[in-house]
Amino acid sequence: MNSIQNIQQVLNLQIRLFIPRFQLREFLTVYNTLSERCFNACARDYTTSTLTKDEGSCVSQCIDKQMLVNRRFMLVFAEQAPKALFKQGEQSPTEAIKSAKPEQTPASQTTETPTTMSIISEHGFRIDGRRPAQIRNINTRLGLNRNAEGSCYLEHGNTKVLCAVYGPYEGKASKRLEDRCAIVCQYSTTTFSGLERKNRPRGDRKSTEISRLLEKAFESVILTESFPRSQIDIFCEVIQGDGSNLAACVNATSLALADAGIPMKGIASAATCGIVDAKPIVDLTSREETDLLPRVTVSGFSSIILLLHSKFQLATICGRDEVILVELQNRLHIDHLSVVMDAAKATCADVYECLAVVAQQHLKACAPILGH
Amino acid sequence: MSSEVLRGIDPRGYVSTFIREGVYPDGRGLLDEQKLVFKQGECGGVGSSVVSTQGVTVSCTIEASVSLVSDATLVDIQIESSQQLAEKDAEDYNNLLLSLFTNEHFIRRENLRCLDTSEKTLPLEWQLHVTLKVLSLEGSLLDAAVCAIGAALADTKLPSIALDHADTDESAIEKTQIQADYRTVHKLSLEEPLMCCSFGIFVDSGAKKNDEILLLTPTLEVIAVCRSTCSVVVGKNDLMVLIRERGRLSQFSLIKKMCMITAERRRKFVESLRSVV
Repeated sequence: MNSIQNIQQVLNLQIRLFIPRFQLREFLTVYNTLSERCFNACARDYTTSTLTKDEGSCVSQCIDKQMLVNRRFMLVFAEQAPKALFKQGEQSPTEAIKSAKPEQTPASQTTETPTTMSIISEHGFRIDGRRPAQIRNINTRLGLNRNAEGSCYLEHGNTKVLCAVYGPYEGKASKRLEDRCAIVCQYSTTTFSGLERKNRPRGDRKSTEISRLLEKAFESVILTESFPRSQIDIFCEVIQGDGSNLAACVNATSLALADAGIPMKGIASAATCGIVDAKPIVDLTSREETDLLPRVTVSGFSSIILLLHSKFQLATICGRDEVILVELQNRLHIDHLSVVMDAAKATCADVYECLAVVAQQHLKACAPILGH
Repeated sequence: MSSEVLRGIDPRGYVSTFIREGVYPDGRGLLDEQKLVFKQGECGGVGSSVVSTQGVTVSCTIEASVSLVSDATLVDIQIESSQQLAEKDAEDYNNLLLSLFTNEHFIRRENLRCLDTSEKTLPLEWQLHVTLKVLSLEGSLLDAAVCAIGAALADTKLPSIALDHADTDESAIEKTQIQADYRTVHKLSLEEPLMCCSFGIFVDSGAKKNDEILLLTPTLEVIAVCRSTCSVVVGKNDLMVLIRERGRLSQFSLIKKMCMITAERRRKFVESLRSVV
């Protein structure tokens, strides 16, 4: 009996020693492969020991690309592995949890499930390393499309959106409104934007729904009474979708409208918020969106005169910010609503700060052209 | 006569006169609920209903057909065009209602499997075609449409299917091998009924305080002068399944209030249904 216990202890010790070694070996393999591939792809000038500017940017792009591919592989693997491991007709652990969910009480619905564990780690980090209340990086470029009155390219993490605004112009007679201008939105996604290839980029149910939502939201933002009997066209195209597509489109459209110089009540900012383990998480990725999370997309704006960072904080205190779009998907218990709304509101404020800085910088860059 | 003139030339002023007094032009309180009347099995199909509430009357007819098991959507909704309802709005409502089906708030997908006379599940599924007809529209369509679909699904009776195809037979199922047996019918097992309430947010520009006033199920005349509108759908265990807000809204607390009102109304509705049954 004792000898069996001794063998088990020895085996445990060997496993403990083996795991760090295995992890180190895996890490070194990935590191060496990545270095070799990016070196072969990017290094051109062998006369200096340092990288040139072009080589440097090429290497960073190469690493980003490789990391992204690796991440996607991991996501696909995480989805497909249970299907391959478990027989057809037999429930995988995830499916068993999903099917068992309705029998649980509402309070326990969002707690102590492996789904929540996979979204937030025990150390309080999400899959992509963010904290629950942390937004993804926002990168923007304004005025890309010279044919449009205003345009914006916005990257919200891995979600990439291109928006163009045309007008106001005298539109079709059928769409003409006597007292205000008509807002026409078209939302589309590239066929390669998601994990699955789409057959049609626009015109499907989801695209039409998002187009309507954008139209309704921006009817409240633009001073439509200033342009009676005219039309403003907004085109949003999701080039790469990684969650919070609607929020990214609202943010991109706001900047594109600002670039076009169309008078608005304020710059609209939008954010997505979900709830896990009774705690809100903001700015959801597509992986988090698909994991049965209730999510709210909130869009609000503050007065255009309060563009500066500090004043916006004051505006929040004064309560001048207003909601223009609330969209809830999936089930959310009424007790969690205020938590989610507060988190979404705070995130909207964070996003607004980013957008306001971009608008200010663009305004400064345009000042010499405008003659100021 | 003078009130009619005011109504025509200044609808906002006309409505705000009443709302300042805490009532709608028809004398109803701003947060008073209106009665809901429904009748089942009057419009053909495998299940149907007619619902009338808040000045909106909607009929819902469900047709069913059998299909092979696949990943395709099993429900399609068609809102028949009406003079009172714009095409864009109809499309919008259509998407909203379809999302309730796809998120399995009305009925679970596994409950649409065909059954034989001994209630054994077959490798076939029922496809439901839901047709909504708007008979009158003086308020929010969504409230009545959600109730009408729920009532029609509760009324739905589907025949047993006799399948002449062995389980071990790997060939494709032919149309001729499927027979409907109307002697035994099955009812659908549904999720608990949903309740939808529409709200309006009115801001009286003439008043000293520009407070936002919450209106429950406003009429079309009042909706036209509201700053924003919001629809809330609540399901079982006070779980909100859909919130859709249009226009501007400053007070976040109003959204919670709307959800509370809808949940309370749903509770009353479920209790009254239980007492009837």
